[in-house]
Amino acid sequence: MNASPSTTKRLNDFKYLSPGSLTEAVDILNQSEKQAVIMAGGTDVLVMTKARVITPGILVSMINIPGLSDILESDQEIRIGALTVVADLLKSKQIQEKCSALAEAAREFATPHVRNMATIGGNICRSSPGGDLLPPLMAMDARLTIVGPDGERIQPIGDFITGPGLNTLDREILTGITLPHTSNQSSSAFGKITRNTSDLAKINCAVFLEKTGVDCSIIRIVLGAVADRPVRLPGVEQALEGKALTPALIESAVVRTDDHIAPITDARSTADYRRKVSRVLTSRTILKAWETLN
Amino acid sequence: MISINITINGRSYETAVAPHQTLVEVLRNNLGHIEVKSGCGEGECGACTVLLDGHPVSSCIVPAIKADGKEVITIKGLSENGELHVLQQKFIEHDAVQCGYCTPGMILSAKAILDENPQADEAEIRRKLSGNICRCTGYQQIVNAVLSAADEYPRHSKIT
Repeated sequence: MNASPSTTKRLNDFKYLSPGSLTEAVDILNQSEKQAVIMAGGTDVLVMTKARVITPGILVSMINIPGLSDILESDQEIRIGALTVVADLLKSKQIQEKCSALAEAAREFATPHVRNMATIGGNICRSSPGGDLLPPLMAMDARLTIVGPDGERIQPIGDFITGPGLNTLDREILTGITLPHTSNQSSSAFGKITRNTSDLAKINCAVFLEKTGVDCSIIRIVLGAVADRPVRLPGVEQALEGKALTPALIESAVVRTDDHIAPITDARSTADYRRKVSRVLTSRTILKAWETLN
Repeated sequence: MISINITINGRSYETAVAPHQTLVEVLRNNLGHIEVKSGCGEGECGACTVLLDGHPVSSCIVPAIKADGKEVITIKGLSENGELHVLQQKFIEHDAVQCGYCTPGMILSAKAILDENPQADEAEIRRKLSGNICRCTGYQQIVNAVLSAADEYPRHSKIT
């Protein structure tokens, strides 16, 4: 084959399986000797396969596994199936009302074309430091349901991601995401610095906060694309918790952003820029979440 | 090879595809639908846009197998009995076509926008066309064409 650009964009030949149940899918992951890669929406797996970043021996499509693409709400929590596409997060009334940060991130996520195919589970398992859905899910204290040969386990998303593109999955499958119940005196917001709407984030940020009386009683702040994984900002959180938030107070608190980030220079931005703008984006996003409660 | 059933512009096809074939390859190479343009090959540019069950997707990053049992609309599915779809007509009137390579994808994305919300304003149109890159026009004529087509929606919209 000629090494023309179009041939390098072709996919390598792999074995394709589309199991009809989770058990069958887990069995394939655990019994195959070749590298088995799970494909949900395919928007990342196919692009990485074309670029030969990964060369799966077996591609395991989730397409025929039923019941993994619903958004269900109970009194206590919202449960999102791992195969829910980003466009459906954006349309969901529950997500818009109870988790606006996630709805905003879905709105800013890649292009409409990608949003129609890409899944929330895929974005989590890709575990990119800059994945747009990750800061909102971390700020909301989302828990992941993961199925393996020994059954099901639950893990907070903050513990799941262990590095750039790395996570705790070990021949397992992410099946769902649970967002805990939030009080009606809580709100969340998302912010993203990017070159244009379809680009990956230079920096992204999500804030969840709860108000008791006039004070901010709980705040969780997450920044993405500024470290080897999305990071919480406990120093900033502590400076704000228990206080009525004002722009001046937020300005003084976000100085501590620096303590928690380790940005790099890459194709999208420089470390210096990311460091400076992290404070600005954090401050804006906190203010946005706070103002929706007032 | 895996056999798939796929409806393209209202006509159904059965074809055998390899697991590593993308939808754009099958549309162009197996089924002769060369009106679907192949651009970047990695889901960035939108040239290969088709409507899959009514939603715009980049057919270069959709495995053909995933289109099994689904309905695909390409640019050729828009005109009826030789009469252009209102979006096609408005693209001509507003000089929204220069080299033309992005046009099939651009019009299909625009159709999905107006099908969902015939009252879409300029901001919504620009935001939702962000998956389609045009290197010639600077977008203004394209946005004008879509806004002008919106004025005549849904009277001219084809039920698909």
